[in-house]
Amino acid sequence: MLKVKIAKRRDGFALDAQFEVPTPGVVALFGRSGCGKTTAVNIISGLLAADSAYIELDGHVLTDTTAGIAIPPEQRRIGYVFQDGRLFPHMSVLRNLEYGLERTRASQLTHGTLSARGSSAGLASRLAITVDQIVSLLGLEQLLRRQPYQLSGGERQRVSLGRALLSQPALLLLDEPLAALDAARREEVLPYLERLRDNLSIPMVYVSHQFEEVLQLATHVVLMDAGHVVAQGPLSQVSLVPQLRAIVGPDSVGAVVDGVVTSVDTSCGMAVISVGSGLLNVSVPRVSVGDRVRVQLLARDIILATEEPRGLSVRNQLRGVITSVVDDEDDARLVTVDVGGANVLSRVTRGAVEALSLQSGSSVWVLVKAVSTRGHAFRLGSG
Amino acid sequence: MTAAGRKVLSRGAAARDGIFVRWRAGRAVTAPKYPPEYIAAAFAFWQPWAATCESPPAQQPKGYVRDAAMHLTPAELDALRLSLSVAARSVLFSLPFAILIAWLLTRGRFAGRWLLDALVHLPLVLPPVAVGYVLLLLFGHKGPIGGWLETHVGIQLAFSTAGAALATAVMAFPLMVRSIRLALENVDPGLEAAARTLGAKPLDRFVTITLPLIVPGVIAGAVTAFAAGLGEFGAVITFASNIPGITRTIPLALYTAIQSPGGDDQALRLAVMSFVLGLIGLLLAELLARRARQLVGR
Repeated sequence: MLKVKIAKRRDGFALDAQFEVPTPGVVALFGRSGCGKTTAVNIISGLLAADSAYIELDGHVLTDTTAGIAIPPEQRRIGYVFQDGRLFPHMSVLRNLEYGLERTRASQLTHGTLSARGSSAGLASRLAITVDQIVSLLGLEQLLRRQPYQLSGGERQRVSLGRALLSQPALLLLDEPLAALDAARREEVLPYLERLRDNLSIPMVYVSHQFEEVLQLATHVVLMDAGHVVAQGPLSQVSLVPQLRAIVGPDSVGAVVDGVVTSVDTSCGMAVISVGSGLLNVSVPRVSVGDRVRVQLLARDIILATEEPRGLSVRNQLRGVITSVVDDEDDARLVTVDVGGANVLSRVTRGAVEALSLQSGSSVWVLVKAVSTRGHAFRLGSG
Repeated sequence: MTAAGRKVLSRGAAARDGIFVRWRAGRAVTAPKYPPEYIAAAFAFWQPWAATCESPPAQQPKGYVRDAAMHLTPAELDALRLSLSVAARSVLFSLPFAILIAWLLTRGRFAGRWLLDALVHLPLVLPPVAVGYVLLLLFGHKGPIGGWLETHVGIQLAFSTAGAALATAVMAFPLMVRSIRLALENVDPGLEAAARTLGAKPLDRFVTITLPLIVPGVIAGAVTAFAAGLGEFGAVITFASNIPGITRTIPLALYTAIQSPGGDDQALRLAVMSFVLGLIGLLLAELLARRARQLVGR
């Protein structure tokens, strides 16, 4: 469990945030630029002092301003991947990777956390993450002898990730690690981040203002706006909160549902996933039965019907009950439907709401075009 | 301001415009291949000296220059040796302090920072003789520090080679601090923060991150200070006097030669010697700094 309660005032800006997220897992700090996300992670890392703060990771108190506790950053075992990479320009990639590792080893030796044997073999076995492991996970084999200035932006961020991980962190902070990259480079690095999430059980705090990154990576979301936390919880819950609309834009509003693959049609890249009490055909590449899949169902793509429709091309029909109807735009309303344990958002016109007399408690059919999920469905990992 | 003061000030300004401005502009400047040509030009002056007397008379330079083309006298060699020794000692002694002060001026957050800044730069604007006099008051026989050093440590600074080195160090100190400070300002504090999150303690961070990254500036500063130190006059003659073999460096020997009747040849040789040494020093600073920049991947 990561518990954070922080407050900091700086001329014209006040950060006052509090959240609790389970570990391990990837928690996304999501919000517009300038809403205090980076300030928050800087305070968590200890690099920035807060006016008042309480930070606790897995039972260890890292900062407690009321009790006068402030463990210095170099002793926190918190890895930090910066937006600009911050590789040491005078060291090769390998030396960069080893920088944190050497210091972790040294502190383990001096603090006597090693077993009585204390041999180098014993030491290696105590290091959860090894250089070999990182090099193969992040595909750094060809880069080890290079200098940072010889790397592309994406390569730099991969090395930066590896360097942070090799310091054997108990928590990894990632401050918009993809923001400085163009779209192609972003696509190049994202799969590596997914691999880290799936292969290492290190809790991560991922700062982003790109909802697509959050969709692909996060297990939990802390939604921030103007220095405050407006919502927090699993992405499927946070995706339903109305405040999200202002941040991601009306066209990106949509419920996020997680499901498990029950069957796969490899010929057309379609998979059937179980969502709530129903099944959903989604377009998602490279998955196999048993994988967990996340799909965002954009509210504007969801059709509601009060009777079971027939003769439609729509592949997905889920039975559900309306739980709320709220104003969305001048001429539209946002309808939340519970489809048996999962929630789906649908944007329908005011006229349609009146014509079908949609209201809380109404029983409806939720229609989802399978092709509309293309590019909005992601594999979360196996099992 | 005295003429000597202006001289030092303009020398400081020239050094800034030369080494430092170009250094800051860094890689944008396409490197002209001037070192070889400059050095060749510099050594053209030396060729008459280098050539032995057996050379055909037709190739011997005429008149004044030929008269000067004598072997260096023991006294001149002494002056050369002393200048090199004094400059080297002054740099070695003041380098750690220069790094510390530069670091304090860039990263330190304390009340009297502006005062420290001003104090460090004072030798640039003061008449060197005044600096020498202040040193004499402080480090002289009866000075508070000098007296203590003499009775407790057994070191006499005034009128000694070590004293000449001290005076030179004080005069060249601002040059060194400026260069190192510039380099420090160019080091991204984010790199130190990154090292911190990787478990590096303060001294560790300084030694493994900051120091290697400022090496070009440190070298440039040290070599410039060395080159400037070879020619320090006012502060040295005031504090350490003009004692042959002990404190009579090249500029002091030059001054003495000009003052004595028939010293023209010697004066010219010493002047050319200063010129060549200074030029070599500045070129060396540039070359070393460039090489170091490559090593740190800039």
